[in-house]
Amino acid sequence: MEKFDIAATARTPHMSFDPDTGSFLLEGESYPEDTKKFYDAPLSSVYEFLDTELTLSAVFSFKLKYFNSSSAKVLMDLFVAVEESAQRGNLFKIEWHCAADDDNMQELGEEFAEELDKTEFAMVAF
Amino acid sequence: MSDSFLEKEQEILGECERLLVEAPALISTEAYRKLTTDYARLLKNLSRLIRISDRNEHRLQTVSQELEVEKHKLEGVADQLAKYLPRQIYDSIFSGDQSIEIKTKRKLLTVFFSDIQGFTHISSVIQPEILTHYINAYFSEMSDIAAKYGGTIDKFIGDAMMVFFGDPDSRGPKEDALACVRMAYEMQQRLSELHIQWEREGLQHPFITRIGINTGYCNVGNFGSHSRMAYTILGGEVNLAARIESKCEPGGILISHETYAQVKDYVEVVERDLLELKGISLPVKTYSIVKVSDTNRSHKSELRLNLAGLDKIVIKPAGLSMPERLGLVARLRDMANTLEGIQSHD
Repeated sequence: MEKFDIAATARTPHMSFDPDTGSFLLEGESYPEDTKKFYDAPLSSVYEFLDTELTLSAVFSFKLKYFNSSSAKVLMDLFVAVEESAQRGNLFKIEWHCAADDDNMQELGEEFAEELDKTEFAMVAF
Repeated sequence: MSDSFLEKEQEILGECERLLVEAPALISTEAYRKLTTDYARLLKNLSRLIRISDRNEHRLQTVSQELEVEKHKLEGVADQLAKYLPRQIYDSIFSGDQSIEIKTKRKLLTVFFSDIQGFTHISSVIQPEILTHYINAYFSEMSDIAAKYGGTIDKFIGDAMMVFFGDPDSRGPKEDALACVRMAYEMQQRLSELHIQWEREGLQHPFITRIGINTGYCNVGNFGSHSRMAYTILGGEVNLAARIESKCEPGGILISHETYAQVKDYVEVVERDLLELKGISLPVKTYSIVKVSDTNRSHKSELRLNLAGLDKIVIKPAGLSMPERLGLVARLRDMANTLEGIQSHD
């Protein structure tokens, strides 16, 4: 479980994770040239974190403006893994940030939240 | 999206296939329930992905339409802006060939100046609205001719017009100078036609123009400040073109020796007296254009002289044999020697 902070590029979002505080952030736009290559290595640390028994309440924040279909698949898998971890007793909160006038991103957040039962979900407008 | 994205789904399918082949009897209700759950999730994900894909496509279309509207708006503005810039400069800037920075270079150019004789008087006796109509018609006609010959219209200064050839595109010094002279000749011809038309319309003061042309090295590029600049030309040769224009007879075209050297095979000229020009240290040799030919006329050109103290000399070398030519040269040299020997009465 490594801490990381990856700066955003034109096609990839800012992604950071700190296992000590249990905070994960994905911010910006996501349509990488190679989605698997971009997400695989850093998310392996996050998945490892989700498999452990946590002593803190983790907050996963998503502040996305746009993402493509393959990034959506990455997000859906991550939401499922978070929910499975929550069902094992870990405490999670997912914050889905979106612009107040961005109906599209709001609907996507709501759809992803359908997977969640034990995980707290909050829609945050900015 | 590569198959590696469906790693988990592939694992589920692989497990099912393995059970079916190896031990179909062992497929328990539990295994079937798990398969159903996973399949339901897969279906839900598929449904979401389709929706995301459709939404993205819709968003793309919306953005594309917005871009199209903005592009259309920008083109409209650019078209309006183009009227304030020389067409060639506008094209160079928009194609990315020309950078917007204060930078100049020296280039061999042919520079054209024209103005309307007595324009101050004309503008004082004609109603401003009528003057505006005719001056705009005049500049439109002249600009069209300049565009036809590839001239870069530098600017309009009151009733004056400044055009240059050789930048941003050049077809070579000779071709540039010839295009400029041809343009000037067509302008004067067109103006003669317009005089008739405009007189018929009631314009009592025809626009008679003087044209001066010079060829030489000029500084060309962006001059001005970082916030406001103009693509123009500067230098002594530009000033010389303007001075020559001021000495041109109304309705005529006066060119410098440097321009004449470039176009001599295509023009019929009258050599003028050496001109003493303000701000120019040495007297300047100029030529009045009589006619511009489409084809090289070097083999049949006439040499005309029209100088003070000389009534008229027209030499027609075509058809002369070499001994006749040499005889003529000797006779002219005799005349020059005689002239040198005559004491001045000043």
